[in-house]
Amino acid sequence: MQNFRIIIVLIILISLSIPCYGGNRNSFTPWDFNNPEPEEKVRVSSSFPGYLLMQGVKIFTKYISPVDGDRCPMYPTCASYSLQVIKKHGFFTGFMMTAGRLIHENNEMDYAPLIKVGDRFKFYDPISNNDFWWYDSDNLDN
Amino acid sequence: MQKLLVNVTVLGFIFLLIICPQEGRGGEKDDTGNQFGYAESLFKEGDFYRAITEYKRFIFFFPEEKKTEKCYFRIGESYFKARKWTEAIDALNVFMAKFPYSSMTDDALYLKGMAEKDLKKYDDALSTFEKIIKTSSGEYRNKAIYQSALVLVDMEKWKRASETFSKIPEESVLSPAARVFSSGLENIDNLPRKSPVTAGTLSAIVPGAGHLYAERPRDALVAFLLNGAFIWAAVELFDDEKYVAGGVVTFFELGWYTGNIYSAVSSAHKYNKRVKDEFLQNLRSRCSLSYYHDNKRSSNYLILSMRF
Repeated sequence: MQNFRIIIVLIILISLSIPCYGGNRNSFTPWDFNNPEPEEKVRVSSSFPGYLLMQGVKIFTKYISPVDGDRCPMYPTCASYSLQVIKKHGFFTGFMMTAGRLIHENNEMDYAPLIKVGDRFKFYDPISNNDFWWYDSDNLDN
Repeated sequence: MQKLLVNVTVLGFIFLLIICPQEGRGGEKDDTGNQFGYAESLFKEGDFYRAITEYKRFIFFFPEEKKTEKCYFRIGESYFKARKWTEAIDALNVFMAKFPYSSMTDDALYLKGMAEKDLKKYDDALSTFEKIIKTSSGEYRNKAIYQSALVLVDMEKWKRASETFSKIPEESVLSPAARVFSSGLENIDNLPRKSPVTAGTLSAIVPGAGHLYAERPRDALVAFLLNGAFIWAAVELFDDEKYVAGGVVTFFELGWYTGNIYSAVSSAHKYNKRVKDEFLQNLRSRCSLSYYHDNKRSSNYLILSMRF
C-alpha cells in the first residue's frame, strides 16, 4: 500500500513536470553563435557515370585508404572533395576538378588557411575555392 | 516511522508545487524602470538573446510606456549585434513603421544598411544608405556616403566607389580615410594580373606550363610528371597492342590532362583574387571604420582608425 502511494505521488509529479518540456526545444535554446550560417544547398548529380565514379571513390575510402593511412593534408580530404564535387557538378566536371585538386594541392598549402580537424591541423580547400570563378557565387560554401 | 517519512516527503513536494508558481509570478510585479533596466543590463552584458526577450516583455506589459520606442529599437540593435542580419532588418523595419518620426530613425537606417551589406544585399544596402543621405545632414550623412562607397567596393564597382568616396566633404572626420580609399581604388587596375586564358592555353600545350605562369612551380612539376608518365604508359601499351590496358590508362590520362588545364585556369583566377583581396584588405586596414556603443552614456559612436 505504501509503495503504491509512492508510485502514485511520483506519477503525479512527473506528469506535472511534463508541460515544462512540452514546448519547442529550440525556443529556450540560446543562439548557436558558432554556426550562424545555413548549410549550402547543392545540386545532386544523378547521372550513371557520376554514380559509378562515386562508387569507385567509396571503394577507395573503404578498402584502400585505411591501409594507406590518413596522409591527405587537405580538408576536405581528396576523396571527400571528389564525392562532393561529383555531387555538385556531375561526372565530367567532377572528374576534372578531382584531378585538378590532386595536382594543385602542393602549392595550395602556401595559401590555404589552416583549420583544426580532430587533433590535426589541415589546409582548408573547399570546392568554392576552386569553382568561385564560374559557379554562382550565391551558392558558395563558407 | 517509515510511514511518517513518506507522508512528510509527499507533503514537502506538494508544498513546493504550491510555492514555486507564486515565486514565479512575483517577477511580474516589477515596475517599468526595473523591467527596462534589467533588459538594458542584459544588453550591456552582451546577452542579446535574453535582452530581446526582456524588451519584448516590457512591450507586452507596458505598451503605452514611452520607453517602448527604445525597446523596439534595441530589439533590432540586439539582433544586429548578435549578427542575426535578417532578424535585425525585420526588427528595424518594425521599429521604423511604428515610430516613423523617431529621433533614432537614422541609427535604425544605418544598422539596417549595415545588415543588408553583410547579407550581400548590395542594392538594398545602397538604397537604405541613400535614404540617410537624402534625409540627414552632417556626419550621419557622411558616414552613409562612406558606407555606400564601401558597398560599391564589395560590388567591385571601382569607379563609382571612388567617385562616392570623393563626395565626402573635406571638413568631415571621414575625409582622410575616404581620400586614401579613393586614390587607392584609382590604382586597382594597375595590380599585377595573370590571364586565365594564357594559363589554360600554356597547360594545354605543355602540361604544367600554366601553373608555372601562375607562379605555382610545385604544381607545375606534379602536372608535368603525372601527364608525362600516363602519356608514356599509354603509348607503350598501344605499341604493345594491349588496347584494353591502354584504353584504361588513356581514360585516366584524360582526367589528368583536363584537370591540369582546369587547375591552371583556376590558379590564374586565384592569383588575381588573392592580389585584389590583399590590396583591398590593406586599404581597409589603413582606414577602418567601426561602430561602438557607449553603455554608460547610452550613445552610439563611429570610430575611424588610420594607419600611417
